[in-house]
Amino acid sequence: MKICFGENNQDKIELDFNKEKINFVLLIGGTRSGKSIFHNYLYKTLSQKYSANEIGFVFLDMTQHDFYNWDSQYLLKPVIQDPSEAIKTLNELAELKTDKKIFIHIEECDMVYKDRSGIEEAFKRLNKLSNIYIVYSTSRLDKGYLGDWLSQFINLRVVFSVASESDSDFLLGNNKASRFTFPGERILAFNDKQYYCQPFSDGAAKLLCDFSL
Amino acid sequence: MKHCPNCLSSMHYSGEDYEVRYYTNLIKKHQGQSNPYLQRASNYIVRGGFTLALADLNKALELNPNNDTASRRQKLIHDKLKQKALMIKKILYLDVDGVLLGKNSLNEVTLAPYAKEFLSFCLENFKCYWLTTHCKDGEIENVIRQIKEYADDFVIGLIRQILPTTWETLKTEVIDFTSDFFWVDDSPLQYEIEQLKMNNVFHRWIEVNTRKCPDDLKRAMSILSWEKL
Repeated sequence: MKICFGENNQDKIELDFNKEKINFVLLIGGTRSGKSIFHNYLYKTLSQKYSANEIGFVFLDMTQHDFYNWDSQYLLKPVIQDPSEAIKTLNELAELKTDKKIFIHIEECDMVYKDRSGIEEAFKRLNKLSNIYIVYSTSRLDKGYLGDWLSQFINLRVVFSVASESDSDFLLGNNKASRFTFPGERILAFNDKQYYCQPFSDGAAKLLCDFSL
Repeated sequence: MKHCPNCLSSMHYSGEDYEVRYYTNLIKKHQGQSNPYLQRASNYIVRGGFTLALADLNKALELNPNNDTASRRQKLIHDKLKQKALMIKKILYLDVDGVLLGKNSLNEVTLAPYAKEFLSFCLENFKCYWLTTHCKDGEIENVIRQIKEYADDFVIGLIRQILPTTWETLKTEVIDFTSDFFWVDDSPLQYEIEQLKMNNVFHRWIEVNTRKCPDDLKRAMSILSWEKL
């Protein structure tokens, strides 16, 4: 499963999820740093590439407003907004017998504070399934649990603008993400590699902003 | 041993409240005179006891309305107390995105309508702090960078007066739930809302969303104008 994650100086940065063994993506950055436009881009690309028979999405939206109008044949379940219900859903998905690729999007960190061990148990079960991909998006960098997750679950970090050098250093080992000027600038970090991606053009960003599945 | 400044008779005092007892005895000794009250008021003033001083000055003026010194000092204390009252402002936490920065009809990010008036009002009436993911390490430069593109120098001058905060993950880490505070934010995390509810301060969150309701800062100002006192 090869996906273009962005461009730098007109060079496309493509990632092969299978080859790079990526099944857990962290999207992290401050408010208005470009995370939402990026995940819209990602899901738009996937839905264009695969039919609803081949791929399905589950949205666990703790912000309660990012995916409120998402409703299509690609969605395996209606958007879930309650942290307890979301953890229950993760466990149900771990039991699901299907060949479909399933992308589970988790928006914000409330589930962790509700029941950290519950969500981690579910991740461990989901981690064993090769057709499941988790995208975890947050604006809140908690070095406690994220430190553990970076070593245990997360294979790809997509790091947008963060507020401080120490946050950038924690995520990338350098201060680059605290120096970004434009929303949408990001660094992909996986398997000891880092790639810078330019923001989407204004026109593309506007279209992506309005995208929903 | 100390002499009475009015009749020069000898007076003996000791103990912690020596000064106060000395002047209290003067008042007793020279009942109906305004000067002993004035003298005790001066003593209170030196020690910062403005309210007590004011009570004595009122008494001194009651006894002698022509006592210019008492009248001057009374005015001075009124000013001091006014200043002091201004210093005890309620705390206001401010978010950036969805609050100061909203969206226009073309869905573009823009400085929210009434932002200038809102900031002036808040700075005048509250002790204002940032509570935004753009300011977590006690520095405001990142916030300025986020807003600069959308604001003129006057607004930048105002936002520079808002104090920075230091926090790690949850905005509620910053808030002292026992303090007199208000928090203007478009969408706290569910967990942060739970924290407010658990501490019985949920009503102190003022929901403002200038992305959906561009004029929301005007509404926030009218809510806060009732809360500033």
